[in-house]
Amino acid sequence: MIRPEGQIPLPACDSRRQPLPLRSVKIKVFVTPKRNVLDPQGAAVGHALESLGLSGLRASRVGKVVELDVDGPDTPQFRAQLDKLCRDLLSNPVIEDYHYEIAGA
Amino acid sequence: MNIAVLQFPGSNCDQDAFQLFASGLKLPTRFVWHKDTRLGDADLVVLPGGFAYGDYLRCGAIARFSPVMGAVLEYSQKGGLVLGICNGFQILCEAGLLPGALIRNSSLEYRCMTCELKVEDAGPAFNPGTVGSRIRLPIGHGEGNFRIDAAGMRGLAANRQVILRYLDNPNGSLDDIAGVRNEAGNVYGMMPHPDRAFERFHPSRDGLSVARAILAARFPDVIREIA
Amino acid sequence: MKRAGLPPNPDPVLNQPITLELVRKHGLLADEFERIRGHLGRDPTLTELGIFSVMWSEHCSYKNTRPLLKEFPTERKGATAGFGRVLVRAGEENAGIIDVGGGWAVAFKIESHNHPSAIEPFEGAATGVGGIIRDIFTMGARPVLVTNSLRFGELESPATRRLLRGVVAGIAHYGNCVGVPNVGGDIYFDRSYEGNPLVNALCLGTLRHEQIRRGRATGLGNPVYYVGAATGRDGLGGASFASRELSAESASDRPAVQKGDPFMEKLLVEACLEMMAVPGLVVGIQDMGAAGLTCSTCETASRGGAGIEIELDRVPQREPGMNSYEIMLSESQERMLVIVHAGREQEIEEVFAKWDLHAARVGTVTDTGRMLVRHHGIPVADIPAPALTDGAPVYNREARRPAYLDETSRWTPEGAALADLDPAGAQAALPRLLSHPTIASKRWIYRQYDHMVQHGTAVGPGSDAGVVRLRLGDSERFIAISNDCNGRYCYLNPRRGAMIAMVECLRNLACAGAAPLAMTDNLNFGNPYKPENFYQLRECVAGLAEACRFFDVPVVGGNVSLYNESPDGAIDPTPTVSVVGLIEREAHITRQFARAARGRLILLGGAPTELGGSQFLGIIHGKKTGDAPAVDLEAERRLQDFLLGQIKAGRVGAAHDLSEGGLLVAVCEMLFGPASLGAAVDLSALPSPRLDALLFGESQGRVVISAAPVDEAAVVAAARAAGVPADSIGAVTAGGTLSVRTARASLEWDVPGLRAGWETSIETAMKRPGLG
Repeated sequence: MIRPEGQIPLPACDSRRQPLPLRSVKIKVFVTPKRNVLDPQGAAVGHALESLGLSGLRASRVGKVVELDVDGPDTPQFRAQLDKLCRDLLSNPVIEDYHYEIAGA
Repeated sequence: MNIAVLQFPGSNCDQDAFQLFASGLKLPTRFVWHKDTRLGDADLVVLPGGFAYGDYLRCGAIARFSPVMGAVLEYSQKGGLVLGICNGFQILCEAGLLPGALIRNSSLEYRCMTCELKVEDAGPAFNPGTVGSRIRLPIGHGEGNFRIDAAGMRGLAANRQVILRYLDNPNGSLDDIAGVRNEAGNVYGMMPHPDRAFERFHPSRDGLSVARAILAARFPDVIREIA
Repeated sequence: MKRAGLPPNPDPVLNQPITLELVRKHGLLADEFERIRGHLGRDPTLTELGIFSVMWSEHCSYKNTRPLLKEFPTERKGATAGFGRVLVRAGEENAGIIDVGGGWAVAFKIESHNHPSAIEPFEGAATGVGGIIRDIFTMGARPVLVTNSLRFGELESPATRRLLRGVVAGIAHYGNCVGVPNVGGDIYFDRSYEGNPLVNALCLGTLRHEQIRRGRATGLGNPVYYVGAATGRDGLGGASFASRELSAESASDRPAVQKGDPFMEKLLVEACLEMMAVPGLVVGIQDMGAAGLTCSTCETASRGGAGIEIELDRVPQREPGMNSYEIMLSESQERMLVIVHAGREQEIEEVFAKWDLHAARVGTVTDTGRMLVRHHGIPVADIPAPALTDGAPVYNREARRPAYLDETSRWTPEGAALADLDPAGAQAALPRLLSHPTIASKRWIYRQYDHMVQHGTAVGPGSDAGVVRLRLGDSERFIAISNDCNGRYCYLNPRRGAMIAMVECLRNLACAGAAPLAMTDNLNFGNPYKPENFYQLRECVAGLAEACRFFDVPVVGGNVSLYNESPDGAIDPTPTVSVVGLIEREAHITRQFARAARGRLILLGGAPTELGGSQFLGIIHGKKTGDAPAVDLEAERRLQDFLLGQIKAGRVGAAHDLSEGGLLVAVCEMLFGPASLGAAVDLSALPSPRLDALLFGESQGRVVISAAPVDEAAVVAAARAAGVPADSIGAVTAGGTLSVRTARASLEWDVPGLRAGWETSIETAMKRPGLG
C-alpha cells in the first residue's frame, strides 16, 4: 500500500558538498511540481508574465520554499533524516520534486 | 454494525458524513477524534470532507500523520472498509492507501455545484447495477484535480479501480476521474459528496445509493433490513 | 485634583510627551482630549491615548450616529412571551438574538470591512467574514450560514475586476475553510462605488436559550483568559507609534492589514462551543475584533460593572519585543477573551489543549470598575472602563438636503421628453439589461462559495432568498434570509430608498414562503461631517425605522461604516438590509424558477409605471435621475400576506418579485432555472401609457407568480378580494421563445440566447487567459 520508495530516484541535493561540522543549520527546502505534472498555477502565472511583457517564456512552475532553523550539527545521519522528511511530509513524490540547500548559522 | 467517522482538526463535513449514515441510513454511527489510536470495532471508517490542518502544505499532507492514521492503516491492511470523501480522499492518497494525487482545480477556483456522474463498473460491489448508471452528487472543492502517472493509469484500468467519472469535468481531473478504489476493493475515495445528497431537499438523494452500495457488498443482510 | 501619573513605560519610545499634534494624529479632537483628561484626572500615557483613540473612533463608538440609531425599534410588539421574542437586543452585546420557538433561538448580525477590502481585497474580505463569525459564536451560537452584500465600481475597469476577484476569493477562502455555507447575498456594480467597494458580511447561528453567553466580566477574582492565536503587529501599520521609529525596515515589519487564518477560526469555534457547553464554566466571553484586546477588555468590564486587570507579559505573542501600545491595539485575528469561574481554570485549559490552542490566563476581574493594564509588572494604562464605552462623546451632526435632489426628484420622462421605446428598441433593450453585471447571473461568484456544507441548504444562491434547514435537536426549522439595498434609489430619495431596501427583503421572503422575524442593517455612507451626507444618513435611518415599525420587524443589530468616499465624492447612500424569516413547513418553500406544469403567470400589484432610478434609465439612456419608485406600505403588506396565504394553500408554483430591470427581467429570471423554458406573455390588457415603463419600470409592490391552470382564476379572484391588483399575463411554454404582446407591440426573443448573455456576462469579464 505504501508507495514503493525504490522506484523513486532520490533527487539531487546539496550532499555533493561534504557535511560541515556546524552547531546549527539553516535549511531551505525547494518543492516544485514534477516537470511532467500539470501545474495550473504555473500556467496562470506564465500567462500573466507574458501579458506584462515577458517574451520568450518557455516554462513556468510554481512551488514552495520551506525554511528551517535546526539545532545541532549537519551530519550524514541528519541528512538522511531530512531526506525522509522531505519525501514523507514536505513533498508528495507522486507529483513533486524537492531539493534543499544547507548553510551554517 | 457501526460506522466510525474520523474528526481531524479542520474537518468541517464530519457532521454531514455522520448524518448520511445516522439519519440517512439509520445506522449506528460515532465519531473518532484524530488523537485516538484505536478505532474500536468499526465496520466502516469514514474520512470526511473539510480542511484538515487547514490544508497546509498540501491537502491531507499533515493529517496523514495524525495518531489515528496508524490504526486506519492497520485496519485497512486487514481488509477493513474505508471511505474517504473529498478531503478524506485527499488524506487517503497522501497516506498511500489510494493511488494518485489531488491537485488544484485547473480553473484555480473553488467549485461548488452539483455534478452528473457516470458510475463505472468497478467490480461486484460498486457498479451501475448496485449504484445506478448515472447519479448526481454535489462537489465542493478547490483541489479536486486527480493526477496519476501513465503506469498508474494503466493499473487503474486493468483492475477496474475507477468508480466514478464526471460527465462535465469541473476541475481538470485526468480522464474525468471523480473517485477510485484500491486494488483490494476495501478502500474507496471520491471528491463528490454523498453526504450532500441524502435529504429530501438536497439536489438528489443519490448519496444514499453510493453509501448503500459500499456497505452492501460487505454487509448484505444489514442493508436489506434498512432498505 | 490631579491624580498621580503612571510610572514610565518599560519601552522608552512610549514615554513621549503628549502633544496636540500627537492627539490629532490619533484622530482625536482637542476637546475630546480634554474629556480624556477629565476622565483620568491627569494626562494620558501614550498607550492610554492609543486606547482612547480606538475606543472613541467612529467604528467602535458610533459617536456620530448613536442619536440616529435610537430610532430603530429593537423589540417585536407582536410577540410577548412566545414565539419571536427578542432575547438579546441590538446594542446590548456582539449580536442580537431572537427566539424561534421550542426553546431555540438564532443570533445574527451584519458587519462591514469596506476600507480594508479596498486596500487588500482578499484579506480584507476574509477577515470581514472571520470577524462576523466570531461575533456569532461569542454569543454561544453555532454559525450555520453566511451571506454577503457587495458593491463595486463598473466591471469594465480593471481595478474593479481586481477587487471583485480578490474579495470573492477572500470570502470563499475563509467561509469555505471554517465550514459555514454561503447561501446568498446581493451585489451591484455602479460608478459611485469606484475605489470604495463595500463588503458587508453577515453570519447567523443557532443556539438554545440557555446557551446564550454575554460579553460581561463579573465576579471579583474570576480569572480572565486569552484564547486563540498569538498576538502580532497586525493592523498597526497605520499607527505611528510602536517600538521603533518608523524606518523602511520597521514599516515593512508591520502589516497594515489583518491576515486571517480560517483554520485557526474553525478550531476556535469548536473549542469555544465545547467550552461553553461545560455547565457553569463560562462567566463571559467576547471576541477580539476591532481594537483587539483593548475593546474586549473594557467592554466586558463595562457591561459587567466591574474592573479588569491584565498583565501583558502573559499575552501569547508571536513577535519579539512588542510594547504595551502594540499589544493593546493589535488587530491579530482569531482571538477571544473569556472570563471563567475561579477554581475552574483547569477545565478551560483542558478544552483548549485538546484543540492545540493557546489558553493563557492574562488577568483577573476586580471591583474597581477600572481597566488596569500592566507590562512587566508596571502599570501602563489605568482607565475607568465606562469612560471608554459609555463615556465616548456623542455628536449631533448637521444635515442639509443636497441640492441635486431638487433636480433629480422633479425629473419625469414626460418633462424630459424622453422618447418611449419602439418595438425595435424594446427588442434590443432586454438582452442589454440581462447582460449588465448588476442584473446578470452571479454564478461566477457563488460557485466559488461552498453553499452546501452542513448539509442543510434547501435553496442556495441564485433565488430570491436563501433557505436553510436548521437542525434544532430532534426538531427542524426552515429559515429564509434575504439581503438588499438599491443605492441608486437611496441617492434619489434617501428615506424612500431605505424603505424600499426593507420592503424588498420582505417581498423576497414572502416569495420564498417565509414570514419575517427580524432584521440587521449595515449603514454605508460617506463623511458624516459633510451635511449632505449626514442628511442622507438621517433620512435613510428614518425610512428604515418607519418600515421596521410598520411591519413589526425589530432591528437586532447592525453596523455603521462611514467615510466611504474619495475626492470625487461619496458612494451612493447604501443602508444594506438583511431580513431573516421562518418558513412554517418544508412544503411551503418556494423558489423563483417556473416549471411548465404550473405555468400560468399572474402579475400581482398592477402594471409598473415608473422609470425613476431604474436600471433601464441608467443602462439605455445613461441617466441616474428621477424620484425613487413610490412605496405604499399598506399595499406591500396586503401583497405579502396574500402571497404567503396562497403559498400555504398550495397554489403557487414559483414566485418572484419585480426589482432591477422590471417586469421583463423578472419573467426571464423565472425562466432561467433548471429547466429550459419559454413564455407567452400578454400584457395588452394592462394600462400602459409608456412601453418602457411597462416592460422595465421598477415600481414597487409587484410580484409574478406561476400557478396551475386549474388555480389561476381562483388566485386572481382571491387577490382582488384581498385588495391586491391581479392580472393574468400568460403562461410558461416548453419551447425556447419568449413572446410578449402589448397594446402597441409584439415582441419575441430566443430564450437560450437571452440566457447565454445573462449567464456568461460576468464570467466572460472575469476570464483569465489560458485557464480551463
